Amino acid sequence: MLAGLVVLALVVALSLAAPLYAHWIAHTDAFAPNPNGTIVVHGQRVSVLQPGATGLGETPIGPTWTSRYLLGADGQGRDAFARVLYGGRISLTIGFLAAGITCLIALALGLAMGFFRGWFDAILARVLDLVWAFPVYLLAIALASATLAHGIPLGPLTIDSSSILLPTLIIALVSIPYVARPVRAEAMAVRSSEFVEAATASGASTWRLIVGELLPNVLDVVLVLAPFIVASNIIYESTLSYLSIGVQPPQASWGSLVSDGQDLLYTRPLVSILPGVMIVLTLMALYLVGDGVRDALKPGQREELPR
Amino acid sequence: MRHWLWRAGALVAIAATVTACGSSSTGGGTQTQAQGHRGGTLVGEATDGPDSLDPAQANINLSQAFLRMTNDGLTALQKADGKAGTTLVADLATTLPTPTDGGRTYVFQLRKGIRYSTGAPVRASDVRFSLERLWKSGSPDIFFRGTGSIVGSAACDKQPTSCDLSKGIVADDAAGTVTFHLTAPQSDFLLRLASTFASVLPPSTAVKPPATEPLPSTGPYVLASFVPHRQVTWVRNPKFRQWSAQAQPDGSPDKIVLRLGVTGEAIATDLEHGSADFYGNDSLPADRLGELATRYAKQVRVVPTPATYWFDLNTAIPPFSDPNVRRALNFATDRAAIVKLWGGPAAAHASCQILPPNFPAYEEYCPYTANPAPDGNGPWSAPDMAQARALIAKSRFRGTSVKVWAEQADPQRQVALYMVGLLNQLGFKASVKTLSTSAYYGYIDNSSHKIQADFSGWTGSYPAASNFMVTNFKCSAFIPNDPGSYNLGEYCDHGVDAQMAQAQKLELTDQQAANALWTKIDREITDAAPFVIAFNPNNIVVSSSRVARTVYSSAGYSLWYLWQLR
Repeated sequence: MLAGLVVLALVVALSLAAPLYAHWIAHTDAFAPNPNGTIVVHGQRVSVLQPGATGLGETPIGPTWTSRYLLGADGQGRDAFARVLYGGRISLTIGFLAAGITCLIALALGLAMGFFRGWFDAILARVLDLVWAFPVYLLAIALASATLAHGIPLGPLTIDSSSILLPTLIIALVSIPYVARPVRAEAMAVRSSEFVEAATASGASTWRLIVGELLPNVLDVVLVLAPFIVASNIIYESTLSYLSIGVQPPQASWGSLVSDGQDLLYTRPLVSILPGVMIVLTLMALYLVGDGVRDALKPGQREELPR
Repeated sequence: MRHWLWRAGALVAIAATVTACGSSSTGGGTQTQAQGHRGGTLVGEATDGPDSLDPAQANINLSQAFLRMTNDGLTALQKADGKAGTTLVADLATTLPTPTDGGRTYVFQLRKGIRYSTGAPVRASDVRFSLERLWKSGSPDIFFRGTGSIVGSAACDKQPTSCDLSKGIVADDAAGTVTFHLTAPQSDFLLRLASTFASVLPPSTAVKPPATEPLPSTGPYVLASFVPHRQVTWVRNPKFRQWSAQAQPDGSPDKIVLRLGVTGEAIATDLEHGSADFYGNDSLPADRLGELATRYAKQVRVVPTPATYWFDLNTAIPPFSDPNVRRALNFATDRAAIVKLWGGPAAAHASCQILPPNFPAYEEYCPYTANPAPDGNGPWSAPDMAQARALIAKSRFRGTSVKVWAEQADPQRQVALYMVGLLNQLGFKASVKTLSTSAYYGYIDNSSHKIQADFSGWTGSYPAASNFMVTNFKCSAFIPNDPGSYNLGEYCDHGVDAQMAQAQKLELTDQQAANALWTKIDREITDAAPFVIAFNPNNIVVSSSRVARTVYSSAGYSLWYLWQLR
């Protein structure tokens, strides 16, 4: 778990430092196209997009191993490494934010369903079953595609289709059943326990019963699931962005960077590989952290994760 | 790039071979090509597949290129390499008719003995059926719908599902004649009939068949299978007997396979390794072109294409409803950067105007450049950001959100990303939206989707200025909520419309005066800036080492079925 935390902290720190790296070290704007740019490498001025000998073809500069274009340029002549760092900010933001939204909504739903039971539980449980029945990726892709052009109009407010809020909400929504169901099961079990019955008999209000008695006893379910949900969310985001229906350019996430580099795979593979490596590292770290939390709070339990 | 338009010059010049837009080559040029053999399987690859293989629905170059080998109309452009490919010839008709009744009546005599792949004979009445089907099926065609002049077509525009052209197209099956009556002389009528939209189909054809259903063919090939996003296969049409080597020659390969869903990178590698013989994308990733041109020079031909690529700016929607913003963007655009992203100076050259070089009526014009020549009569040299920022400062739309649409494949996406970066630099909140090629034009052409800006273009299949102007910039070329509305900027200037009508009239009598007027129109539309003209591309024809002879028409498309394998 400690190794996971260290790696995760390192990835988060690197991502947070993206603007500092771009400004002070790479001296670049990671979002502005720079096809006509030139840099000095080993005393020689060279083009960032290097022309072919016959006037046909333009190949982005490869790794310079200097502060500028450390790992080369992408197809727009932008610093590939700086963009990977910026990509981490978006991927991690979406991963954590969506997980937060998921956990909050799922906790509220699970507690209410577990406490009230009856028709309220029956209706909500079927709704969750309905969402559960769809493969997560299919549902996320369908929602992202449907909102790709015009975003989500919410009365006077509109979530723009290029806003990162859109993939965040979609990912949060499709993950809710995976947290709400275990929370509901735990809440039902706690609801039937003697100490809750005693509190009810002593005249505790519904609010007091839910917040004071149930919540503290189901919170560990959410805590155990949270790292895994963050990890899943990062994969969902990467998938949607890779398919061009998640984070929209010029913003960059690791998934969109893998996609950006796909057409450079032959000549400049690092543009695609590096964000892929960052995804793998982050997921490994999150799974290690998740395993550690689970071992601490629920020894011997294996959680069911989204498919 | 997407739709190919056909247009005649003066009627007397219709049958003459046009002389502009000569082809050149690097590597294995036409002159040095070896002789191949008949037979074998030609394999192509594309990132995305045909939008449709129904002549009434096919709206992108790739689809139309294959329809030219399966279907025929009354007329066609000669199926030949280079300049010869721009010559208009009779196809299902025996000859190109001379119009009568002041240019308003054309009588075609059908060739005898031509049959569909189903075995059914081609009849005169099939022509009327096929053209009425354009309206009934909701075709994206614009040669006959909207801007057409066949008697009855205006009523069909209003009531498409009950379209009746019986007064405009009189067919006599017994005599094998088809008579067209037009409401007004149309100088480019015979060339409109050469478009794939005018392909002749039997009356048994469903109005809206499933997209994958093979339709009856008259050409040397027939569709064998179409699995969207996977593969398309064509085989020889057993009923085909060559009737004209110019209009519809017999094909070379026995079978043509087009693999779909292949990335640009993989296509380039497969062409190098010989596991694919041609590519169906507009271009290949810029980073691979250099390697192809140097290490595989004999397999690469660079052919000038009569085309212009641009960004449409929707004049009906903010921020581009403000001419200052449109002009500012034109000043700010670094066309040299876009040329680099497209593949370098051998792949394209910068432009500010609609007409491509070597076109009749073309006179170099670029008012949107740093240090412009007097009256703008010179080339683009560099962006003028100061001028751009000054114009933006006058606009109340600075800071608005802009979505730029483009095809998903590179280099189109890269070019769109450049424009997004530039818009952000100018203070807008821009982002890019991409769609697969097969879905792209059907989506952006439809004004109900409120597209603000898109990357698009036009390939003029023969050199005449009206080819570009009428279909893209005439008021009637904007058809609200229609998938065949090509005037994406929703540009409408009735003064310019009147000049276009005048120029088209002049084409019948005085081509020189007509060209002078088209030059003026080119400048006026460029000044109004319903677009950012970016560049004129060259076509990079790449073949595998298995291919002995390639055929690329100067009309702007490959004739893959005439390619010969070693």
